[in-house]
Parts: sequence; C-alpha cells; structure tokens
Amino acid sequence: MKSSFPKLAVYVINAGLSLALIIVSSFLIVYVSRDRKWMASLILLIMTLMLSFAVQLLRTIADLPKRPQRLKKAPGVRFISLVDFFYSAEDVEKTFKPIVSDWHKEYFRALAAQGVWRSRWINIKYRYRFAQAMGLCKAWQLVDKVIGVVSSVMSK
Amino acid sequence: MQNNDKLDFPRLSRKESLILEMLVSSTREIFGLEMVQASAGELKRGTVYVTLKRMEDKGLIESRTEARTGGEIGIPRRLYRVTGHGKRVLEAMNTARDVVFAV
Repeated sequence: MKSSFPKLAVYVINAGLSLALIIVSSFLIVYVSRDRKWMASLILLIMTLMLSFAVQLLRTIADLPKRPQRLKKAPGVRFISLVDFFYSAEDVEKTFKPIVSDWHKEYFRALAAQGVWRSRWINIKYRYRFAQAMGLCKAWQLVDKVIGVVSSVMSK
Repeated sequence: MQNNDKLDFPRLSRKESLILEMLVSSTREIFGLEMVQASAGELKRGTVYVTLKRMEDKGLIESRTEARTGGEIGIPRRLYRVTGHGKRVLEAMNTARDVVFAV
C-alpha cells in the first residue's frame, strides 16, 4: 500500500539532517573537544546514532500504510433491490431504474468536478425523490384498482 | 386501456400534455432528465418517471433503454419518443382547447 507521506519529503529531510549533523559535529570537534580526542569520538558516535535513529523513524513514517479504502456500491443500487421486492419488474424497469440512472449521472458528474459535498447533497435529494416515486407509484396503482372495482360494480 | 365506450375521448393532465409537446417538438428521442430541465420546474425528477410510465401504458409514448457505447458507468438511461396515437391525442386536445377558448 502507498503511504500518504511523500517520498521526496523523506529524502529532503534526510539530507537536511545529515547536513546539520556534519555542521554540528565539525563545530563540536573543532571548538569543544579540541585536545580531547575521546570526547570528539563520543560526540561523533552520539551524532551517528541520532542520525540513524532519525532516518529509521522517517522510513517508518514513509512506509506507514494508509487507512484501507472500502469498496462502495454506487448510490441507489440498494434501493433497486428494495423496490424489486415490492413492485413489478415493469415498474422497476420503467420507473425506478431511470431515477437511479439520473442519480448516477448527477452524482458522478459532481464527483468528477471534485464536489464531494455536492455529491452528498445529490444523494440526499435523490433518496427523497426515490421515496416520492415509490409513494406515487403505489398511490396510482391503488387509484387504478379503485376505479376498476367501481366501474365493474357500475356496469353490473 | 379504456373498455368503456363512453370514455373514448382522450384525457391528458397538464404534465402529460407538456411532455407530449416536448416529445413532438423534438427531432430525436429524449430522456427524462432533459424533460425536467427543459420544463423550468414544472416536472420534478421524482415524479416524471411515474407520469412517463402511465403515458406509456396509455400508448401515448414509447421508450427504450439507451445503447451503451462502452466505458460508461451507472445504469443506462431510458429514451422516450411519441407514438402516432400520442400525436393524434395531442392534436385533438389542442383543437378541443382552441374550440373551447374560441367560444
């Protein structure tokens, strides 16, 4: 998996740290330890350890995996499964699938334009529209049924 | 659709009449979202397909699923066009309206 920490930044920080270490070590060796060679060796050893620790730390950060991404279904797909259960295949094909088709078109267009919040707003609006269509479709079916019953009674 | 002979005169709601006019004036098949956008708020995204389905049941319009060209995502759109019966119904309604308003 790729890390969120850019590799170039790791190289730049590593190079900066190495340069800083060389400057500080030279300064300490020249001005602080002077005649004490053991002190110069100790300073170099500590600096080397610090540098290797910093490099190791940076490498660990660079290799940290990003939070795994979940695969998401396209919006509205679950709604299609729901109406599949309650409505006829013809209703699903001619009423609900076109709504989800428009939903996808607008949703993916918003996502392509980097409009994450807009795409969320589209999802909310289309959920409402889908529910509206479900209600209206059932209402018309009921009206047709009532008209059928009334006309059959009247014809008798 | 209408078994009763007394109800032979076609009845169109305002939305149905608007959709028929759009389809008649269009030279090509159009899809639901186009109709909604062209209606300037008269047709709603949630209800237009219920109306279209009812119109199709009445034989006023016909529809087909859009052919995929590849590389597209999502469910294919549905394209609508007016039938001969739909055209005649719209003409009859317009004539009836003209007669009523002339009186």
